[in-house]
Amino acid sequence: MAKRIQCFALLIIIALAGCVKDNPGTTPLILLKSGGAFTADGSAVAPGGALRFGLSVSGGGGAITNLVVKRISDGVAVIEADKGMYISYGGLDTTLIYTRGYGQTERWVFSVMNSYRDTASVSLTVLKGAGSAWGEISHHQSIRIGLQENTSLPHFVDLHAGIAYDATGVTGHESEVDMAAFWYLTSGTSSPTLTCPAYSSALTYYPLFGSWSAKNQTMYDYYTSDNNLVTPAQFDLATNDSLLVNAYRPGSVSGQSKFAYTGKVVPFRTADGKYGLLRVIRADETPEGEMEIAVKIQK
Amino acid sequence: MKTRFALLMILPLVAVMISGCEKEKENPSVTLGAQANAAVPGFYSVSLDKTYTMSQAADNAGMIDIFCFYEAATGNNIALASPGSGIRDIFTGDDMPDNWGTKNTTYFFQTTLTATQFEAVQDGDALIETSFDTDNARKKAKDVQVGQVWAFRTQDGTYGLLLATAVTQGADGTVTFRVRTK
Repeated sequence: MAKRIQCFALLIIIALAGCVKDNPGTTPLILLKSGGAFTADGSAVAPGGALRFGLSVSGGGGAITNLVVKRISDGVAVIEADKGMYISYGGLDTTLIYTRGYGQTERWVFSVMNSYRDTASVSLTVLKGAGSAWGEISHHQSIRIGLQENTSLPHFVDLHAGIAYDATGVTGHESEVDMAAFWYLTSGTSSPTLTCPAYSSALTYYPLFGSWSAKNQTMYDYYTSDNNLVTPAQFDLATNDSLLVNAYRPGSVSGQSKFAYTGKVVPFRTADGKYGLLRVIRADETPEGEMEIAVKIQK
Repeated sequence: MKTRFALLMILPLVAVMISGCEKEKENPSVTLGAQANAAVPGFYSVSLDKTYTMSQAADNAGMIDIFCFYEAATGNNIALASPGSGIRDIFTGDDMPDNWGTKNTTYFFQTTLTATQFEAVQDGDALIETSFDTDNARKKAKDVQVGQVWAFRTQDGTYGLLLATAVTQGADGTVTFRVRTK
């Protein structure tokens, strides 16, 4: 009887082994688009100038799961973006916008991974152009919003236009909302906190985000904020986007920024790639309270 | 008894092996014959992924997006074009595309993609569309060579990439390619 069982088990193993699917053995494909709308390899762009990279990505038989953007400025590498995703059909076609820094040469490397953990990358080099091309900024001197339980002030901020919408008025403007704020205790510490529609835990305080088809992800540089690397005085003196771009440290960003106390300055980058600075003029530390901010953002 | 037991064990397993294993997705090639090739149909419907003889194509003119032809004197050699391309003096007879009531036009653009890169592209990928350069597209894919990847757009707005995998020159020649569409 034991021999029969062994025989049966062996046959099952053989049968199953025959059904194992081979790894398709293809790697993803990532291409940089060419043409006048995009920054070309070897082109010279002055510090502050806009860099536009068009990417076409195919998964190579697997879903696209990750996109990493790395800027290597005079040999110093900084991860500008590291995005998880799951794109199983249609590939990825996107345009990324960045701003040229001060380095003599910037090498940009774009890497993708698929669900088989196969990777592909493409790179280009952008030289330093003459002069500077720092751009104009918009300055919104005062935006007042309510924290999560405030019923009298609007909650949803369009950082580009400097407008805040209430729950009714935001209808039709969801894709323009970059920011909201709430207050909570984190490990016993009071924290007025900045968030954005795409940040998952924002739903705890603003369930309305769950019904939006467009949920922008604004990335806040919490390191610069926590360590007061930009002062309110520096914020006030900024007349172009140089400080906005250079203050932003892509290695220490999140869709949520805690401890946004009165006087804090928080660098941010919106979903459409605009750099900005947000100065907290006043932040209450109750759920019913309010926050008043000033914003400088690239035009 | 032992033989019966063995049969009882083996037969179901064989059935499982035959029916249970997922079939590999086929990725067939398309082969089109040039105008004097009587053995290989020369007309192709992208949407139906089907080849037609000229006679069949004339009856299904609205479905035909691409044909193969050969013309050495102009350097076209083995080339791909469409009924709406205005190419004349290649096909003859009542069924030739000149006489069709519906003549779809397909535009072609030779990409710089390699065969390996083509293999990474899947049907539906946005890259298929972005590989097509509208400004520099032409009504024919001239002198198709093995390994070339051509982007195309059919009359109905379907975008595609085709990788030429075999070419035989001559009026009775052929071109074989694989297709990805979006």
